[in-house]
Amino acid sequence: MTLLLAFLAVVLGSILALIPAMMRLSKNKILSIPATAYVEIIRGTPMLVQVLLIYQLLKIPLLLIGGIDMGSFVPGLVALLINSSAYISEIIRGGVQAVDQGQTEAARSLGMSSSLTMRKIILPQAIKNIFPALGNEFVTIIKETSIFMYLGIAELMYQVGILKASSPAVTELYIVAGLMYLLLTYPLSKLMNYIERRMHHADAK
Amino acid sequence: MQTPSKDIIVINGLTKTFKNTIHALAGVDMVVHKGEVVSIIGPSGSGKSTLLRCMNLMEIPTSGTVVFEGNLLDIKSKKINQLREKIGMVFQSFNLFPHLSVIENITLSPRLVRKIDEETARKLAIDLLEKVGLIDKVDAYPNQLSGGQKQRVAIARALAMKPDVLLFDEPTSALDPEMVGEVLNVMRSLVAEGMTMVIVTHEMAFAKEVSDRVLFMSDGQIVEMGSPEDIFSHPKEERTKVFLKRVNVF
Repeated sequence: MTLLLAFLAVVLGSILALIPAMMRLSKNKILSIPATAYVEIIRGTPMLVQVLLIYQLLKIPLLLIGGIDMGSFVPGLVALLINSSAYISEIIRGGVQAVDQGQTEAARSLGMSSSLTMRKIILPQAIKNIFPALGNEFVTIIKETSIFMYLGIAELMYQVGILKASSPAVTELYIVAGLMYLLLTYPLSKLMNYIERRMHHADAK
Repeated sequence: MQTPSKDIIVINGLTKTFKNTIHALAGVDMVVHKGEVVSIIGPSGSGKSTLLRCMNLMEIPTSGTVVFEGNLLDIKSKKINQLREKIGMVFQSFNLFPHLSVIENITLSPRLVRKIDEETARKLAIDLLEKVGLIDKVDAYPNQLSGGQKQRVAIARALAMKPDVLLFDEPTSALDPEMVGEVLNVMRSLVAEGMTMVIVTHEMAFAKEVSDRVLFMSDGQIVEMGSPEDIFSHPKEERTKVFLKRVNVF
């Protein structure tokens, strides 16, 4: 459950994050100011608050009005998406800005529009800058899913909570939980390193 | 060509002030005629690159106008992209697209912007690579090329848009000395074909050899303008004399 949540948050979050990232990169203030506000608000408030708030806003009205019980998973995912998309949008923005200005100039001097330049020249190069940081974000999100125990989503910490009730060895339980998180994140870091190296290798071919 | 006059680029009252209030350009008027080779020389910081970069609005002038083939260049207008197609630019730092192979670098914009089909674009690119002497590098990536080879690919890439004028922004300044010659040779062949060119350069001998006109700039102004003979052998202005003495060529 933990992995599924984190995976969906990173993949969907990356796609969603393109919107605020491009808005913030825009010279148009009508676009950049709301995006900046969004990113600052999300980054400046605790995720726990965001998750509980979204849960309230989404789940309870839907249950009362529509009579739909969407469970805790969907509101949890929505909260996670909102949170991760703000962070990832900053990663994308940084990656795009790290691409040499000369690349934009060359593309524009060839008559390419700004959106064509972004899609064909800047983003393909920015991905190399974005990828390592995206890996970090993935690891961070895996760990952050632990707060979903408050929503009763059956992620790792929630299971620990259940076991805790019937076991005296609380400290050991927490250590095991910590190790399990490490078991999830460590191979992931390794995998990210590997992909990163492959990308650099491809670049140097 | 339905160019109404023989003037490709007409510049009027151009000024450019950067944020730190340096006057990069302090009122420049000039014309580039069809088929002409104009070299811009001058000390660093004199505004020569800024002037060149205003000719396709890579740099937005603070005031003044740039008219290209009768069209006022306006960065807010959608037409700017179509006009830029016809104004090729070659950069000091090449700016090849590192994620694309040599041939893709050349065919990308013709395919996407001029909408010519892949086959035709490829043929065009191969012809151009032949012309710049890099036919064996078709599928190479930019980081496998030497500086001189990169710049020749960059010239081929600019030519692929079939521009009416080519702007060169210090095309050999980032090159090792032994690679300058190969780039200048490609430029010579373009001169021979009658390509309209504006060249910002520190290669005085080259400027003297290929130019129809030479502009000497200092402090954001055109100090002196004339034939290579006028500027290099009989400079009138004191600043030109001092500069030429300092670069110590003639």
